[in-house]
Amino acid sequence: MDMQPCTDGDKLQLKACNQNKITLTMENKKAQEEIIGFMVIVVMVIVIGLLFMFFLKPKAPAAQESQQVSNLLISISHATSACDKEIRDVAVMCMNSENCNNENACDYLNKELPSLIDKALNKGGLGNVIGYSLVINGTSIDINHGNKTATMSGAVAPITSDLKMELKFYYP
Amino acid sequence: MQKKLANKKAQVKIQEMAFVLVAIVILGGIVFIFFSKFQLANVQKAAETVKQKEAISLLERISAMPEIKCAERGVEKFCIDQDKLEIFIPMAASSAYIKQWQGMQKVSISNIWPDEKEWTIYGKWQGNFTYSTFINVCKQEFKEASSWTCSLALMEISYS
Amino acid sequence: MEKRGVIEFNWIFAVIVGAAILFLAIFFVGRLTGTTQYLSETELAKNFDILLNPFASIGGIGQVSLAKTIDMPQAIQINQTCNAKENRITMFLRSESSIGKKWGEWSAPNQIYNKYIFSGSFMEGKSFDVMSKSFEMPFRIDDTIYILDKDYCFVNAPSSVKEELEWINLTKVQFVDSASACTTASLKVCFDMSCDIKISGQCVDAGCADKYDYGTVQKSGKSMDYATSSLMYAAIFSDSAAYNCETSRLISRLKSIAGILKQKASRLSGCPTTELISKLSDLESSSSSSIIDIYKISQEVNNANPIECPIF
Repeated sequence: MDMQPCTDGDKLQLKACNQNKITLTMENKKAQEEIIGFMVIVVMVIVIGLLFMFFLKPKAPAAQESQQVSNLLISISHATSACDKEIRDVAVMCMNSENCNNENACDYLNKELPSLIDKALNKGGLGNVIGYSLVINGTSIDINHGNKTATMSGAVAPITSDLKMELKFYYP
Repeated sequence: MQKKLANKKAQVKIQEMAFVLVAIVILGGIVFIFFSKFQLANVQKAAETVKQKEAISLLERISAMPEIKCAERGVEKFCIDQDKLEIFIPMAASSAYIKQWQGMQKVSISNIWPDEKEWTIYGKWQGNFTYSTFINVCKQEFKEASSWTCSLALMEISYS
Repeated sequence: MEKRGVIEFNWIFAVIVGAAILFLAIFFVGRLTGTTQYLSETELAKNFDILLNPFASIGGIGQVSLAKTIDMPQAIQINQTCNAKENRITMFLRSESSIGKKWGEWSAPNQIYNKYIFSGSFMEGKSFDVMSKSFEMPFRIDDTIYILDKDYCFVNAPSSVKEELEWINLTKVQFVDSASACTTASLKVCFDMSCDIKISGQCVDAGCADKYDYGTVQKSGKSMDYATSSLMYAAIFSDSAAYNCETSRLISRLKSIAGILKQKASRLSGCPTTELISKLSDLESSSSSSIIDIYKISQEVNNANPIECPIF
């Protein structure tokens, strides 16, 4: 389009020429605005689409941590010890200062329980555990291993009215 | 002159329309691709969720199977009977039971404490996803009276 | 004149292309809706199966384990067939549609191998009462699941039935003293009296705890033998084809478990299991098609279970 200034001709022609130039300029600007508007929409759709794709990634299944800890604690309490009694019964023996397998019941538990829990952790299914604690309230059993953090999963298994086992796992 | 101007305007309009159409088609194509991916992801997610739920419910079901569960005088105990488990394993792949494990790659029970032992109920190879639960595997003995010796074990189900 | 021609061509072009785009959009949406509907019906069928999981193999003994009313977001139709040979139930499901036809497409067949469902072969509704009860003969076999889509009216039910079913508050089960008190649309269930469903108790031997321990259920011109209350409810709430097929599946499982217990009994040294092994062998190899005969053998097995070292 010819954008040279209007100079030649009479006043009427000059007026018409200037009017044409203004109209063309406005039309050009309108067209540019429309193109920009359209491009903005295209860019928005692409950005939204990319966001969608990003959030659609399937998430890994959540660890069944709490239920697992509970299952583990119950299974531990029902496991048979070397003196043919369940661990829960050995805890009662510990409270009463009795012997299990020719040694003090509390010493037996302090020796076997960490080994038991370490083996269970090695088997997996409990997530990324960095520390644990096992306490049998009512006895001197208070086993701690690794680091304690604010993120934890735990379970409580009552044995008698005076006695309960509490297991906690700590995560990063 | 005016005719020429009008023709040019018309051509510009046609060009404008053509570009707009091309842009719409490209946009439509992009939207279609995203939508297809979204739909596919949805279907895959639905299938994945169903498999997860099946695996978790299978864990519960196996530990309650009368074929392997401990029982004494009608009182069901929360454990697996070792003798029944060992008798059941050769039957697990028979036509009567094989469909119970459908979609799963491996179903196994491993003794953790005091001694270690593994029983594979079904399958050979570990899948990519595993669900597990801790249980007791107990053996019934009779010396003047019936008694049960129980170990800590882990039941695992894996699928791909 | 040329100016007018330019404007007209513009509009014509826009209308033609717009119409083409609209047509393509509607065509693809239609195709997508069909696929999506099939997918969602199939997902619904699978989810219905998963919804029933809590009712199966709970591991309890004795009275009704679990009862619940399942409310679906829209009305559904369920079509299920039992295949005793393949040891499975095939379930098809479809839901009410708000677009086009009243009912959507039938889902892909859902094969169920791990449940024993007693219900009508065709059910329709938005709300279903689901109940499960352990089936023991004499040891636990599995849980039997009952799906109710119709209303049932128990007339003068014996106390054992009333005690078991009344407390679970199923919306589709009513207990009355006379048939006239039943709602019109409900199926009447009578004990030793003629009505829609007639239960005849036949257990009069010395070992019977209740007259209705075994007997027959007469329904829709067909007679079904039952043993234990689990199968009595099964005969009441399902049709004869489903009942016979599912009972056949349960008996196969019973024989399988009997075989396992027989082998376990022989492993347990020091325990007096000779008679038990013999009775379990009878149960495992029984060729009788009568559930009542099998029940009688199972009672002998129960009596042979040693007290000092029970095998089950």
